Amino acid sequence: MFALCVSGFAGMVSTGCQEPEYRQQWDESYDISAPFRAKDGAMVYIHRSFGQIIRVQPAKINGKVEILHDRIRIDGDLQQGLLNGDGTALFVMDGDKKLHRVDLSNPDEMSVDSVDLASAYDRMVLDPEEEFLLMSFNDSSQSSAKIIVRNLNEVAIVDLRAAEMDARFVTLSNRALDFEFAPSFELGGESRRLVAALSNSEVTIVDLLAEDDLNALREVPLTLSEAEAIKRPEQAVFDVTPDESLPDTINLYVKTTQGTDITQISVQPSVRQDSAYTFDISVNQLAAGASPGKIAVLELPGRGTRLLALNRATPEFTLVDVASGESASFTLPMTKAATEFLTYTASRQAGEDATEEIRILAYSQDSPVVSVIRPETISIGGDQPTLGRSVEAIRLERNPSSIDYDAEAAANRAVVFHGGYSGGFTILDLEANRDLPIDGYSLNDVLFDGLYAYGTLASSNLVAFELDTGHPTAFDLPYQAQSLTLDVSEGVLLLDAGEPEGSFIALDAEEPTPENAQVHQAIFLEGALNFFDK
Amino acid sequence: MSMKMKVFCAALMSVVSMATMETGAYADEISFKAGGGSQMLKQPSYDAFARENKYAHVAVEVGYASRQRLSIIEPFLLVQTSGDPGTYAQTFNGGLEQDLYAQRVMLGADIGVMVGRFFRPSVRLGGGYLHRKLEVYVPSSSQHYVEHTHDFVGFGEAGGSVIIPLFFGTPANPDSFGARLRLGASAHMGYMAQTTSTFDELEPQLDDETWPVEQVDYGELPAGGGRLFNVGVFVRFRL
Repeated sequence: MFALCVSGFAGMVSTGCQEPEYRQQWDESYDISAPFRAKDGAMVYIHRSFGQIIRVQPAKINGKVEILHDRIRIDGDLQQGLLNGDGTALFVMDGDKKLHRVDLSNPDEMSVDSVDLASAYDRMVLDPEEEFLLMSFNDSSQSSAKIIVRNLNEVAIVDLRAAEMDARFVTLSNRALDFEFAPSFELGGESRRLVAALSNSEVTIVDLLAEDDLNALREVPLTLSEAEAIKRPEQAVFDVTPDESLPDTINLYVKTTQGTDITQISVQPSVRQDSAYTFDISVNQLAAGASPGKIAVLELPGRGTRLLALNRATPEFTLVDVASGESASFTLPMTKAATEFLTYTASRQAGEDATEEIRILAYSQDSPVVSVIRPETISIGGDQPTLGRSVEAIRLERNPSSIDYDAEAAANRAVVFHGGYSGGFTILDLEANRDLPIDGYSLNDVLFDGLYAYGTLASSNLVAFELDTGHPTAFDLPYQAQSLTLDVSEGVLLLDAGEPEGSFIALDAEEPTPENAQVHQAIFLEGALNFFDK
Repeated sequence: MSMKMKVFCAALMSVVSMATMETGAYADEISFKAGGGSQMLKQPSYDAFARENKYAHVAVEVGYASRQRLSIIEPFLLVQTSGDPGTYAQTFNGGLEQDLYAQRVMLGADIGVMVGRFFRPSVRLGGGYLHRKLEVYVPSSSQHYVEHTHDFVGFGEAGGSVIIPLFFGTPANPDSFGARLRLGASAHMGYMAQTTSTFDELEPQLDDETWPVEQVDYGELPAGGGRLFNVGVFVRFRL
């Protein structure tokens, strides 16, 4: 004991002079991202307060349900994240002018590689083919970081094709508000990657593979003169499907906030010998009803390429024949304008043969009626299609807040979320166009697993329902859960309570009872006492 | 833990044997002290609990003094408690509340001599058991987490006491209650250090006990210590 005291005195002498600073990080606000659903039912979080990436995974070890968690520390000013398509990589922006790529493919350990950037961007868009990632600045900066000076028109192009990320920086003549990637296509016998940078009154076609500056950026004005009202592009859709009448042409359709037209930008290989450009670009305006809202490009068998635009003011939609420019508007059987839609393919029984048919489910948060549009049955030049044939209506019990569609399963089913605490939910059978209203608590999240769907409710319950019959079974939880994921191979559900300390429940999907469960709370706070020690 | 217990028991035995040997049949004064003080803990891990790094405590102490043999050594038993229930240290702008409570039970020796009639400069050495309770509260989820740790603590400090009799002069009856009392105040400064407190079994406080719940590894408060300051007032009663 005396030795302890003597060492104490020695300690006093040695540490007496040091005045370690207070760790200011404890005074900042606690900040952790929403979950990113990675592969195999893992949930990944960006812990901005601790500068960590935390992964939580459901597992079954020796038949026992477990919750695994691992973390990787990235020292920096972590911002938003973006998960790739199959959930194997998370891109994280860093306010210290860096981009981090967290490799999630190894279930035992995460790894990170980084690339230096020219600026601290606050927006990123990933190429669906995952060859490129573009970064730019938001229209209105929401970042709390103090900005000293930056070039708002600067765009970072991060090349992901090699093992190591490579970034280059270009400056557009206008600030890029959003990007739309064209799928990989061949033009003039060469493979091409294009991306459209959407700016106020302008679209810039960026050739990602071009090596000369002249062809790398091609600006397309959306207004005739600078004096005209600003046209802000809201949505852009590429169509790279080869058309028989116009081979070697790809189209970009741009809808803006102002005006009734949709701008069609056609890109063709340059035919003139003396042209310095690789591509010829032509612009065309397509009339699309009174005030087009969301648009979709539909490749309809037998009818060619058509644009569908929901009207943003009235319950109508407009179909535009791209080849002829002809358009016609049709009424939706709703009282409010449809604001959202989802596209799916239904199999239709016509005698002995089953045929595939493209359908559109259009809905609004303000209307209990959802509309199913069958665009293949609509002829633009002809009479208005009769209701019940080309456009069908499904009346729900309550207004939908959102609709989640199961894109993976063979059966066409969607689940309608209703707002409020006890609004219940509705299962939509999209083959038969009927609804199964489920009374009870509202859904927080839903997950489809073939014949079954699992949902977390606004009560402390988990619900499993058969998609065919809609029959629900409720299971108790220790507390309310928000998001859920499923490790399909192990059959283990992982539920996140949505709490800032990180509270998780893992359950056996077949028998979700406390005996086959594991609760792990405060995962995000692990090691909290020592976090700012260094 | 068993190694720590052995060291603790040995230390306890040595203090107890020292006290009995030195006082023997002539032990004639017992003192009761109440006081308070603070320990500075500047290791970064403590930033989770306080910006100032100063941990106040209140203390009670029972001492025993022989005036005949080896009167310079007075053994004592000291109990200190720190942490204020109900006031959480707020971190992350109130997003996380953490509180650390400590209780210390220590045996020690106050070594000093009387200088003049009233002043007794002394060096105090002591050590013993440290109980700590960490409580974490997350306001947005209303969840409590608790863990207790058991460690060793030791201190050394230097300072002095002022001791004055209740009645000056020669009392009419030297064995009256009043005549046997002496009052005093003390102040000491020094260093207190403790072994590592490991909070790797933080327990969520769930109402529903049917669910298997994992414990949380919350980190550790490393071994070490900081400057100690103690003041107190006491009465000494002649037996």
